Amino acid sequence: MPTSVKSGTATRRILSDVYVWTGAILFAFAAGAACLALSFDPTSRTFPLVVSIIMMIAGGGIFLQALSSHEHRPLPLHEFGTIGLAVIAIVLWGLGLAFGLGFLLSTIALTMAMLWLSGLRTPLRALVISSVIAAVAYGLFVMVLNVHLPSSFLSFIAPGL
Amino acid sequence: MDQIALGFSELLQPAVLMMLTIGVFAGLVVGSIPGVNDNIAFAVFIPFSFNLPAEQALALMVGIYCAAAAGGAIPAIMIRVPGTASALLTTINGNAMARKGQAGQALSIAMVSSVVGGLLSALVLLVFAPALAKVALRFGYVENAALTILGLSSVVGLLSGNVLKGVISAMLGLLISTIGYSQVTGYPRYTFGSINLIEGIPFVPMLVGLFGVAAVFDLLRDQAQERRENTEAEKLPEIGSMRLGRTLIRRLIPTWLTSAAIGNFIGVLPGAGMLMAIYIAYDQAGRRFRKHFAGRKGEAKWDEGAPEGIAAPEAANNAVTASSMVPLLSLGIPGNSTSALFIGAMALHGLVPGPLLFTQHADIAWMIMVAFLACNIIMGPAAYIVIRTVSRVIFSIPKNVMVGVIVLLCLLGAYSDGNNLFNIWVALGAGAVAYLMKIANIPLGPAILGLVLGGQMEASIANSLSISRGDWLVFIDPVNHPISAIMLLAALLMWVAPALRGLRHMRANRFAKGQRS
Repeated sequence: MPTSVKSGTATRRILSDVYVWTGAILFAFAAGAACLALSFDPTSRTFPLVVSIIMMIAGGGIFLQALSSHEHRPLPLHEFGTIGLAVIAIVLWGLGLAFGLGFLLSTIALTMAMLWLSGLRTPLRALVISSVIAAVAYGLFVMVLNVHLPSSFLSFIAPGL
Repeated sequence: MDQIALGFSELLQPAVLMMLTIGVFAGLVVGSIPGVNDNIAFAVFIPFSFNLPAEQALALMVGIYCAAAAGGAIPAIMIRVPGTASALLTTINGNAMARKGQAGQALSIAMVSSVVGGLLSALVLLVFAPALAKVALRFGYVENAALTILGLSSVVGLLSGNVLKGVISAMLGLLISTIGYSQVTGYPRYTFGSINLIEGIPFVPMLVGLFGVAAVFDLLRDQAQERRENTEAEKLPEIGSMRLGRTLIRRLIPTWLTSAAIGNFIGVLPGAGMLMAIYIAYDQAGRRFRKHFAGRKGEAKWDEGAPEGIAAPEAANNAVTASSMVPLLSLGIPGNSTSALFIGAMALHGLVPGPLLFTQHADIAWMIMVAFLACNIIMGPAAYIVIRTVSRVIFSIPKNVMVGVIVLLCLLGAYSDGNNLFNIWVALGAGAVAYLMKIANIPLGPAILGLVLGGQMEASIANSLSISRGDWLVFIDPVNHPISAIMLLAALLMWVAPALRGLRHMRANRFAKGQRS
C-alpha cells in the first residue's frame, strides 16, 4: 500500500476514534476552566484550578493513550442523527414555552417528534397518543401539582395552556 | 429501641404507609419495564414529591428504590431482558427455568430472595448508620475533608475499568460543583453573569437530566437498533404455580445468607454498586452449586435453570439497597447513584443527609431506616399481585410511547423545581453530557459524587487550612487528627491498588507475549 494511502487511513482512523475526541474535548474543556479560574480572586481560584489541572492531565492521558493504542473504537455517528433530532425537538419545545406558544401545542409537537424518532410513523396514531399524553401531563402538573406554566396565547382558556 | 419506635410511629401514619405502598408498586412496575430503571423512576418521581410532606415523599422514594431492584427480575425471567441492570445475571437461569415451564417458580425464587436480601440489608442499615453517625458527629473540618477525599477515592478506586476515566468523571463533578458563589469567599465563579447560575447549577434538574433525559436518548438509540436488526418479541411463557417447596427453601438458605452478606458488604462501600455485588454473589453461588448439586439426577446444569443462579443475584442486589444508605445517612456520602438521587429528594424538603440528620431530624432519619424494613415486608405480596396482574400489560406497552411519556415527565419535573425555564436547559444539557459520557465509557457515579461532595470538600479543606495557618500536614497529623490520617491512608490505597493491578496485568501480558515469541 502506498505511504500516502496508509497515512490517510491512519488519519481517518484517528479522527473517528471516540477516545481521541474524548481526550481532546476534555483537555480543551479543562484548559478553558483553568484559564477562567485564573481570573478569580486568589482564595477562590485554588480549588477549581487544581481540579481543572488534574482534569487536563487525565484528558491528555486519554488522548495519548488513544493515539498509541491499537484498539480502535469508532464514533457512533449513525446514532448522532436520532439523538441530535431529539435534542432539537426538546430545544424547540422549550422555546415554544418561552415564547408563548403554550404547553398544549408545544407538547403535542414534542411528543409526536419523539414518537416519530422512536419508530411510530403513523401520523394520526401519533397525534392521538401525543394529545392524550399532553392532556394527562397538563392535568397532573398544572391541576394536581400546581405547577405554573409560562403564559401563552391560549392562557385565556386555561393557565399556561 | 426508642428511636426505632419513633421511626415506626412516623411510618405508621396512614398517609406515609400509603406512600410507601405506592412506592413499592411503582418500583415493581417501573423495574418490570425493560430500559426503565430505578434511577429513571427516581428522576420522574422526584417532582411529584414536591407537594408532599417530607416523610411521605421519602417513604415513596424508599419504596421505589427497593422494589425497582426486585422488579427488574420479572422481565429478566419472562422475556430474557433485564428490567434493571441489577437483574442482568437473573436472565440466565431465570429465563432457562421459564422456558422449562417453571416461570412461576423462578419468579417466586427471585422475589423471596429479594425480600430476604432486602430485610437483612435493612437490619444492617438500622445497626450501622446510627453508630457511624455518632462517630461522624465528632468530626471536625480536617476529618470532614479527609472523609470527602476518601469517599471520592473509593468510587474511583473501585471502578473495574479505566481509572483515568474515573478521575475525569470525579473532576467533572467537582468542577461543576464550583459553579456559583464560592462557599468560602462568596466570590462568583463560572456564572458568566447569569442570575440562574449564582447559586450553582440547580441540583434536581441536573439529576433529572443525567438519569431521565439520558435514558430517553438510550431508549431512542435502542429503538433505532431494534428497527435495524428487526428483532421480534419473544412469546411470553406461562407463569404457572408460584409455590416454593420446603426442600427448595432449605436448599436456598445458605445462598440467600451468603449473597445477602456479600450485597451488604459491597453496599456500604461508596461507589461499588449493585453490579459488583451480583457478580461476586453469582460466582460464589456457582461454586456452591457445582460442589453440592451438579451432576445429580434431574438437576439442571449451572446457567441452565439452577435455582441458586436466581437466588444469588436477587438476594445480593436487594441487599445493596438499604446498605448503600449507610454511608449516605451517616456520613452524607452516597453509596451509589440511586442513593445520590436521595440527596436531591431530601434537599427538596430542606434535609441534608449526614450525621446531623440524626440529631436535627431524628424522626425522619429513623423513619427512612424502618421504611426499608417495612418496604421489604410489603414487597412480597405486592410482587405477587404485580406478577399475576399487570406484568403482561407492562410488557405490551410500546417502547415509543414510553419514550414520549418519560421525556415529558422529566422535562416538566425539571421545570417544576422553581417553575424556571432555565431548568429545562440544565436537564437537556445534563442528559446530553451523560449520553456522551456513556459513549466515551466514562462512568457517571464519580461525577455524581463529585457534585455532591465538591462544596463540602472545598469548604472543609479551606477551613482546615485556615485553622492550621496554612499547614497542609494537618491532614496527616497522627497525634491530633489520627482519623484523618487513617482515612487518607485508605484513600491512598484506593488509588495505588488499581495502579498495581494495572502494572501486574501489563507484566502478565508482556510475559505471555514473550512466551509466544
